[in-house]
Amino acid sequence: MIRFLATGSVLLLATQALFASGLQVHRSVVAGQTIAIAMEGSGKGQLYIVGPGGAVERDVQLGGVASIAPDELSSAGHYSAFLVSSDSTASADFDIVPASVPATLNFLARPSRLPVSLPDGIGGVAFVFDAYRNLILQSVPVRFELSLKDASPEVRTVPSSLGVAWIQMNSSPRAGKASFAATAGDASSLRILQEVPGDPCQLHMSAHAVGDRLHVQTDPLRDCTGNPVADGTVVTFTEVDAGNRSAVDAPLKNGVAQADMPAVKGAIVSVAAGEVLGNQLHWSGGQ
Amino acid sequence: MSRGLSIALVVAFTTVALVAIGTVWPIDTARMMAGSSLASGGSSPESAISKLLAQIGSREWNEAYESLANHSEFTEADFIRDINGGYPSLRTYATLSDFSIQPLHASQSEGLYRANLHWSSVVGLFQESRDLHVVSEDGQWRVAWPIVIEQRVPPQVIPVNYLRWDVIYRSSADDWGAQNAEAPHVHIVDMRPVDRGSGVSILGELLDDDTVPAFVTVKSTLIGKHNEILGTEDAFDKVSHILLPKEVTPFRIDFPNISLSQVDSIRMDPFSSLISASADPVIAIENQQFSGVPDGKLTGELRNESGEIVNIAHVLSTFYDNRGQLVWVGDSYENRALLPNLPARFSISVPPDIAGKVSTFRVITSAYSSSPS
Repeated sequence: MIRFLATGSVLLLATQALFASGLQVHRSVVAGQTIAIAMEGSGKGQLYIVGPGGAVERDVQLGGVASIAPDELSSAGHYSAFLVSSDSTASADFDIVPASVPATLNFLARPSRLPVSLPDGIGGVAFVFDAYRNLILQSVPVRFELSLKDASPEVRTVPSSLGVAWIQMNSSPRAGKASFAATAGDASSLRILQEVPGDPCQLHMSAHAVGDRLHVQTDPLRDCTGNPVADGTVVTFTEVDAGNRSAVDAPLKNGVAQADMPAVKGAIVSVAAGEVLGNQLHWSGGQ
Repeated sequence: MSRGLSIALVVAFTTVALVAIGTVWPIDTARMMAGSSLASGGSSPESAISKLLAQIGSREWNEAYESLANHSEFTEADFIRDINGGYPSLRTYATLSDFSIQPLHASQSEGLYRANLHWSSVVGLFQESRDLHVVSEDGQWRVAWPIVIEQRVPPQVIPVNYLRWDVIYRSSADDWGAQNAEAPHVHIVDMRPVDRGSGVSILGELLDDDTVPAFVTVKSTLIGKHNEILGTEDAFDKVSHILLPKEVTPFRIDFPNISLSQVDSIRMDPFSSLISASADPVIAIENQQFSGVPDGKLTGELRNESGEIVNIAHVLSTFYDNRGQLVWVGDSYENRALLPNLPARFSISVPPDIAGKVSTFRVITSAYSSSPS
C-alpha cells in the first residue's frame, strides 16, 4: 500500500471539469493537492468518494464546495464520487495523477558481490516515485554512477519508462567496495557493491627450516589484473616423501599463506590454490 | 476364564524366572548399567575389571579410583582427566555404553586383560582399548590402571594474526530495494553414486567458489523409474559444513535399503548461506598413510598450528581410484581436544571391498571450539 502526504494547497490543474447530475469535479488532479468538488442544489446530503487509495464519506451542504485534503486522498488512480441527497443521487469520476517531481527512488542493485572485470555484471533498476509514493509514469532522466575510491566514476543517464529505469554496467578491474548511486531530480539512493578479486594468477612459495620443521610461505598472491587475492582463500601445501604425505590448508592472511610442515630430507613440497598449481620444491635439508 | 488365568500364570512365572536368571548371571552391560552395587566385588580378575568399568560408566570416580591397585601413583584428578579429557572434548560428554573383556595372559596372582570400551557420543560410537593389569591382593583382585597423563600446554601467550568475517544482514528498516548480502556461490565439482549392497551412497565434492566463508549443506533426492521419490537425505556430518574461500569438502549421503538399480535419476541440492567465521585454527595433517588391503585404514597425525584449543576435530577424507574417480568418503572424530602443536593420531576406516581400489586420497579437517578467543 502506497501512502501519501498532504501539502494543503489548493491548485486545480485539470484541463477539463466534469459535470454530472449536480456534481462538479475536475477530471484530473495532481497528487498532493486538495480536491475541490462543487455540488449543485440545496439542503443536506452525503458525499462518498471511492478509489484505489481509500474511501471518504462526508456530510455536505448542497450548493457549496467540498474540499478533500491530500492527507485523505493522494494515491494515484481512478476515483468515483457519489452525492446522495434526500431526493436524488449524483455521481462523477476523476483521476489522481502522480506529481512530476521525483521525491524518492527505490533502487535495486544486483549482485551485492561480484568478480572484477565482469562485462555487464552489475544490474541496476530504479523505480521513481513522487512525494506520495506514486510511481511517476512520465519519463524522467535517472543518473547512474558507479564509483570506486581513487578512481574516476562511470556515469550514465537513462530515461525512465513507465516509472522504471534500468542499466547494466561492467565491474571495474580494481577490487574494492564500489558505490552505486541512482539519482533522479533531488531523489537519490545508494548501494554498496563488493568487487572482489579473481583466482590467483601465479602461485610461488619458498621454504626454510625452523628447528625440526619446514616453514613454507607463498609470495603475495595476486589475480590476473593485479589485485591482491582475497584474504581467507585456502592455499594447500602438500609434502610427499616415500609414501608419507602431509598437507596443510592454510588461509591467506594479508595476501600470504604460510604453514609449518615436517622437515623431511628428500620430500617434495607442492602448493595449490583452487585450480591453480604453484611451484614444487625438493627439500634437501638446506635453506 | 480358566484359560486366561493359565496364560497369566505362565507369563508371571516366565517373568520371574527371567529376572532370576538375569540377576544371578548378568551380562557385562547389564552389570554396568546396574552400577557397581551388583558387581561381584573383585573375587576374580573379570569381576574386578567389570566392577571398575561399571563405576567408570556411572561416573563413581572416587570408588573407582580407590579400588585401583596403583592409585598411589597418580591423583584422582589425573584419573578423571585420563578418562574424561583434560579439556572439553567429545569424550567429556560421552558415556560408556558397553564394554568387553578379553584375557591376554593370566596366572594365580596376576593377569593382563584387554578392555574394549564402547563410548557413546553425540556423533556416534567411538571405541577405545586399554590393556589392564590385574593383581591379587589379600584374596581380592584389583586393577592397575594404565594411566595416560594427558599432555598439557604450558601457560603462554600465542600471538595470532586473526582473520574473521562478520555479516550484517538486511534489516526491516531498509527500503524494499536494499539488497541483502548475497549468499556464497558454491557448486558441486564431483558426484558419483555407488551401490553398497545395503544401500546407495552418493559421494561428491563441494567447492566454495566465492571470496567469503560459506555454511553449506547438501541434500540429495533419489528418483525412481516411474518418477517416484525413493528417498531424500542430506550429508549430515559427512561433510565439512563451514568452507573458507576456494575450499573443497567431500560429502557422502547414505540411502539405506535402496538399490542403485531402482534409481532413475538423482537430484542434488547444495545450499549455502553466509556465516560469521574465522580462518583459524589451521590444522596440519601430517604423516598420512593408507595401509590398503586388508586393513583399509588411513592414518595420520593432526597438528594444531594455531593458539586456539580445538575441542572437537573432525577429519574427512576423499578416496580416489587410479583414474581419479571418487570411490569413497570416510571420516573420524578426534575424541580428545587438540592442543596447540601437540600431534594427535587419527584413523579412518575404508570398507575392505573399496580399500583395494584406492589409489590416492585427500584429507581435510574441520574444527569446533567452544571458547574461541
